[in-house]
This record gives sequence, structure tokens and C-alpha cells, in this order.
Amino acid sequence: MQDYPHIEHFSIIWKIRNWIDRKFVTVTMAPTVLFLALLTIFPTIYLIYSSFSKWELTDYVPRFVGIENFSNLVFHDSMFWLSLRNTFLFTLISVCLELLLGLCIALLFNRPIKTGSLLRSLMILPMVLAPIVVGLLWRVMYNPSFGLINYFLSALGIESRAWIDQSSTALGALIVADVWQWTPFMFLMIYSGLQSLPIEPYEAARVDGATSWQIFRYLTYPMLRQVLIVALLFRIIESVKTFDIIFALTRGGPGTATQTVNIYTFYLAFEWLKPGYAAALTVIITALVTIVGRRLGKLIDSEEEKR
Amino acid sequence: MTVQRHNLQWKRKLESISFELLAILVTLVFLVPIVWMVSSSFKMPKDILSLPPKVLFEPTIDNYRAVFTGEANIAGATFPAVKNFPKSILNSLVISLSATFVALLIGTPSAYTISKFTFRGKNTIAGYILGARMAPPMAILIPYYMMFSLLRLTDTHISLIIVYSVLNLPFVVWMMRGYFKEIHHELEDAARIDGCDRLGTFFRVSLPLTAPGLVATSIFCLILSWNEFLFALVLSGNVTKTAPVALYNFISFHEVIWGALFAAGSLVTLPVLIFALLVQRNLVRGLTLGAVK
Repeated sequence: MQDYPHIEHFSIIWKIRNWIDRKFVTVTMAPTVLFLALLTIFPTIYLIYSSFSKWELTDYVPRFVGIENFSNLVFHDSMFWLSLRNTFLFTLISVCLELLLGLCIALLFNRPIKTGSLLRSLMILPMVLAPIVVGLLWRVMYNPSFGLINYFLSALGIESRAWIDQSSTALGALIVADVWQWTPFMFLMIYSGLQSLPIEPYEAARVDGATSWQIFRYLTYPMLRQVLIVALLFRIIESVKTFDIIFALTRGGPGTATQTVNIYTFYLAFEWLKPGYAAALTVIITALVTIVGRRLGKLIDSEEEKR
Repeated sequence: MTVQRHNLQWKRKLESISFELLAILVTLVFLVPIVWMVSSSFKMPKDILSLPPKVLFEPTIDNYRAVFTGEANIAGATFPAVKNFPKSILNSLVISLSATFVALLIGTPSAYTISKFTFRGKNTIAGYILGARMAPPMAILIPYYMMFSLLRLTDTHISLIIVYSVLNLPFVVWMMRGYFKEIHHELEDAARIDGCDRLGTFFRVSLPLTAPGLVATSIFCLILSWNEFLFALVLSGNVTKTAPVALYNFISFHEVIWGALFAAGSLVTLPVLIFALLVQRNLVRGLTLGAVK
């Protein structure tokens, strides 16, 4: 216990400070834990409860239906499987492209480039834009009459078409917009990873006459692996969460061409008023994401311990 | 011999110039759409539609006027645009600032404790906080929507502030945890030896030392809340409509008032761009919850 001569006579204040000092961990952790518990655990329980229930449009009281929602989803709902497939394709293709492009750009910027720092500052702007702005912006970019995309493509000799209004190209168009927004993220992650690598192994390799490919394969890649994995996992999780950009660009259409799990759930819960069914769908997705999330948490910890 | 060396020098120079040009070209790919949006917001209707895009044009603020008045004048005819856009910007400001403040107030002390002390269940709690951030948005949104409907709290500022605080809190805890970890514990030990209690050490030593981190974290929270769309779309109504939702409404209107759409998009984007340039150095850290520095 400490002495506070100047506040000795304010005994209540002294007592409170003394109590805070003794219970410091509890006092500082309690607000966060209580706040999150109240606002996530309770809703989660409610979500699980709803996933076993059914609401009729006429009344507010849910009816318990057991695993009917789940069995319908898995066995009778082709839309569910289609939206899973779309989410999987969207995530797989866009994240792979982002990784590949991000890596190439990072390697390019890792060379001595005079205007590098200015270009880097400009390059990162897309990823801080609101996804809804990106969606709207690209919607206009794809506009067949005055959008920039068709203008540039026609300069390359590709005929203009309504990219987001055709089922065959809508998902691709969506992926392009997503790649545009998030490649800078991959670039930035990989670039800072590259910058933190030691120089000595590279000098040694050069003296030994290694080719650039050998340097990349046997030096850069192994040293960069952890950064790549963390970046990849982050993008995968964020990509599965994607909603805004799809909603702004295509609203899941045309037809069901770009209907991902999130879009389908949104329609189920808020337009077709089937909250129980939507809840069941969300429970399944949450379970899937949790598995990936746990792995990510462990990776971050092991990354930090290495430093 | 000298000729060969001369050639080699030239080859190097050519190579470095071509890489320089390539870097500029790549940057342009990411920059042109944004520049196009902002410049088009100052164009007259006929200039917006012209291809190739006009680089030199007579600037006008008509589009911004349309955004603020809710009426667009195109070629003498009046078109209705989205009403009350300025109010939605105000809503966004109020909600983002409050949610950021709440999250910082609750989250910073916890981040400090997680970074400095060992206690029972620490890893479980830290993992749980991270999990709240990774959870699919629908898992939070659906029950919230039902709860707020039951409590008659939909379309109130308080409901959106609560939701955004929940979304920001894990972010604050994980970001600040990293910043607090960087403080050498000798400084805190010195304060303790000089007679500071834990609260005093926190406020007089640790918090001032992490001030830049605190600023970066709050700016990130502001950007995240400002950009959020899905929760606002479902939980806000006429009274609390945020700027992204109001912006989305622009496309449900006549698709002729492109200028106003560009202007509204630029207005939503501008604060974020300024903030992003301010926290540039902390960007990687922010986007990975402090996992990568």
C-alpha cells in the first residue's frame, strides 16, 4: 500500500483508489468482458434458439420446429448450395488473384524506385474506400455507354458489353472490383514483410551466383511464408464476410449468378421474412468460420512470440 | 572493354527506367477510378458522358448543390435526388464519433491489462475478443435486428452506436495491446517505485507513451464505422440513415443523375482519404489487428 499524503484526508477517494489498485485486473477487464458478453453471447444464444424455430408472418411468437431448418437447408435447398459455391468461388479466385498480384507489385516496389514512397501512398487508397463506394464506382465503371472499362477494353479491341448484367460475366466483374480494392492490402502486407528481411543472405546468394528465381524460391519465399499465410487468412475471412460491394454492384443477380451466402441470408432474413431459416444458415456459416478463425488466432500468437 | 562497360551501364539505366514506368503504370490502375469519380463530380452532365473522358473541362459545383438540396437540374428539367443527404452525413459523424469514443473508453484499459499482466483465463478472453471480430456479420445482425425490434429501438442513434461499439471494441483491444506491449516495462517499474499506484502509472506513464497509437487506433475506428453499410442498412431508418445508406439510395433513383452520385460518393470518400493518409504508417498494423507491424 502506498501513501498519498496530499489526499490522506479524502479518505473515500483514497479507499476507491486503493481498491482499484488491488483489483486492477478485474476493474479494467470487467467492462470489456461484460459489454461483449452481453452484446455477443446473448445474441448468439438467441440466434441458435431462432435457428430451431419458425416464425409465421401473422404472429411474433416463434414455433419450435427442431432441426427442420437445418435439414431443409442441407437436403432440400439448392439455393443454399449454390450460394455456398458462389461464396467459395468468389473467395478462392479473388484472394488468389490478390495474393499473386500483391506479391508481384511488392517485388516490383522492393527495387529502388525513385518515386516509390509517393506511389505507395497513392496505391493504398482503394482499400480505405467504403466498400459501398467501391461497388457504386465500379457499377458506373461497367456502364456500357460511358464507363471506363468498356472504353479501355475497346482500345484493346474487345467489344463493349454489359459485364454486370450477364450471368456469365457478373461474378468475374465482381471479382475484378474486389481485386481492385484489396490487392493494395496484399501489396502492403507483403511489401512491409520484404522490407523487414535481412540483407546478408541476399548478398551471400549473389556472391554464389544464384539466379533471381533461385533467390526468390530459396530465400525470399521461406522467409516471407509466415507473412503470406497471415495475409491470406485475413483476406479469406474478410472475403467470406463480403456483402457491401456485391450488394452495390449486382445485388446477387442477374438471377442467382452472384448470390453469395451473405446475400442469400440477407434476403431470407430481411426481405423474405424467414428469420429462423436465415438463423440456421448463419449458424452453419459461423461454425465454418470459427474453425478458420481459431487457426488465425494461433498463427498471430506464434508470429508475435518469434519477435 | 570500355565500350562493354558503357553498354552495361546503359542497359542498367534502361532497366531501372522501365521498372520506374511500370511502377507508375501499376499505381495508375489503382488511382484512375478514384480520380475519375472525384473529377466527374465537378463535371457538367454532357462532360460526364463524353468518351474519352475529358481531362480539361469547365468545373461546376452543380452536382454538389444537387446533393445538398435534393434536386438536380439537368438541361432545364428538375429531377428529384436523395433528400436529406447532409443530415445523413451528420448522422454518420455522430454515430462514428460516439462509437469510437465508447470503444476506446472501454477497450483501452483492458488492452493495457492484457498486455502487462498475467491472470487466469487471459488467453481465453483475448481469443474470445478476437472471435467477436471474426464472426460473420449476419450472426450478429439477425439477433440484433430482432432484439431491437422487440425493444422498439430500431431507427435510433443509440442502437447504431451500440452496434458499432461492439464492432470496434475487439479492434481497439487488439490494436492497443500491441502498442502497450512496445513500452519498456522499466518505465512503468520506475513509476511504481516512485510511488505511483497502478491507475497513476497507466494514466501518467503508459497512456501518454502510446498517444500516437491511440490516435491511429481511433482514426481506424472512425474509418471502420464511417464506411460500415450492412448494419446501417438494416438497423437505420429515416431518422438515423447514415451516409453510405443514403449514397446507396442514389442508384435506386433515376440513373440519369450521375453527377450527383459522383458528388455524393466523393463526399463520403473525402474524409476517409484524408484520415488514411494521416495513418499511412500504421495501416498494415491496423488492418491486421496488430499482428503484423
